[in-house]
Amino acid sequence: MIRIQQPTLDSPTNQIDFAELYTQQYASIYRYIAYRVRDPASTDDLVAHTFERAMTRIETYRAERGSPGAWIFGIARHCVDSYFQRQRRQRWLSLDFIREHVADNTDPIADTLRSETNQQLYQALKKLKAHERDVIALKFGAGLNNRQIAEITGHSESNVGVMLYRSLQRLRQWLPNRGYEQ
Amino acid sequence: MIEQQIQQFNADVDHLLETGQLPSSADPDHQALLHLAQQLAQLRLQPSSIQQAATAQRLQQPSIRKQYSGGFMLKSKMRMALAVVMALVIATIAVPPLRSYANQILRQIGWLSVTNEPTKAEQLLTATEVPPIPDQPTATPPVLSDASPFNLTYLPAGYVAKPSYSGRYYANDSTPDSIYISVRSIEEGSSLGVGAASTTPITVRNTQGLYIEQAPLYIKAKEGKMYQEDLETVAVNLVLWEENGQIIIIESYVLDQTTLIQIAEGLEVN
Repeated sequence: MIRIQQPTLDSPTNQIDFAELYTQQYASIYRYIAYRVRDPASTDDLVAHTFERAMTRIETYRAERGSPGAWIFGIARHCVDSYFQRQRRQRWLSLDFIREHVADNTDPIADTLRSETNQQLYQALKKLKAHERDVIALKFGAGLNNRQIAEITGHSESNVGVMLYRSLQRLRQWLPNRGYEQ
Repeated sequence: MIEQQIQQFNADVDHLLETGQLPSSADPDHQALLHLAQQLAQLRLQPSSIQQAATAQRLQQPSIRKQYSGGFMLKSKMRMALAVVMALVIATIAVPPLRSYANQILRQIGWLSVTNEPTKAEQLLTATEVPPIPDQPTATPPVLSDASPFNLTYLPAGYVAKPSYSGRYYANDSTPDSIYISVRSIEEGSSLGVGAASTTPITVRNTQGLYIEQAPLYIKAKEGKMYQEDLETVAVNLVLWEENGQIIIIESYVLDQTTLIQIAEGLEVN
């Protein structure tokens, strides 16, 4: 469930093979956006919008300013931020998504436990600052390592590590029973 | 000391994400953080190959391909922007309904905006591209996992509670109808498109609410098949209002405004 393949962000030239970029980055971009938006319909739109923007502006990419992976993650972050601004900072699930989602449930007890845990996590995540939520989405949503996150966000790699550690400590404090002790 | 803890934590998280294996630690605080990291990783949604293919197909559209292959220089952008502005000005002046139709908010209930945008079901059926078709009709009552915060003191004759739906779904065995009650936390900016359905402001449980008649929110197959051409929308009547920061919706295929409000007034908080 958790295992992921880390995307490669490295590329030495200004030339981008868009098809290759799409193949390499689609899954991680999707997971990152889905993690932040949490609505499949909006995620699909934003992922498509991200790649559309990348495709139409591909000549603006400059290798000296970062890898193609970092470049397209920058576009994705901008798309998500714009989406939240348009939605007046909507951070929750749409009614339609809830209906579709709950229709798939098959184990009411397990779903109740999972749902409660996730609700608590979502509520706690909302208390974090925007840049902390972003780093968590890049880490746990997109599955990037700290060096890659540093390249995308402009923070140093060690700062990313500290930010993740402190964010999870704060999340744990906000969660009932202080989190997930065995 | 703290730097070592942070370094170890990040190394353990990377190990967790790469292998799916939760590292064990003698330090209970450290272990609890790793459990939390595991939970955060499990919140992730995975894309399907269908979605990836659909996005790829969307990127193949001529308008996008043209921009990609032709270069997108500043002059072109300015010309296009000017053309769009001109078109909007002309359209707005010449066709007044355009001004009022798009994205009109019909009613604000708490943080939920009820708009006249087509419902998701309508959008699905009118999409030019073939969308992924749900495996099950969305008109099927959802299985709800959390217990209802309400008890019903009034239920129209013929309707009985379905135990597996936690007091939120009541079916009528003699007529093809059901009552569905949902209670949801909605954040600022959420919206519910109801298309061209008629809306009536109401007072329910001493607060402002909305009655929506024949909103095509669901989809069902005409003859049991789930191909796009065999699908049709299913309309419901619903009342909705905000109570204690939550949006509560009661809906039915056939019950009218008066009956739905009567059910709402009869809800008792558990």
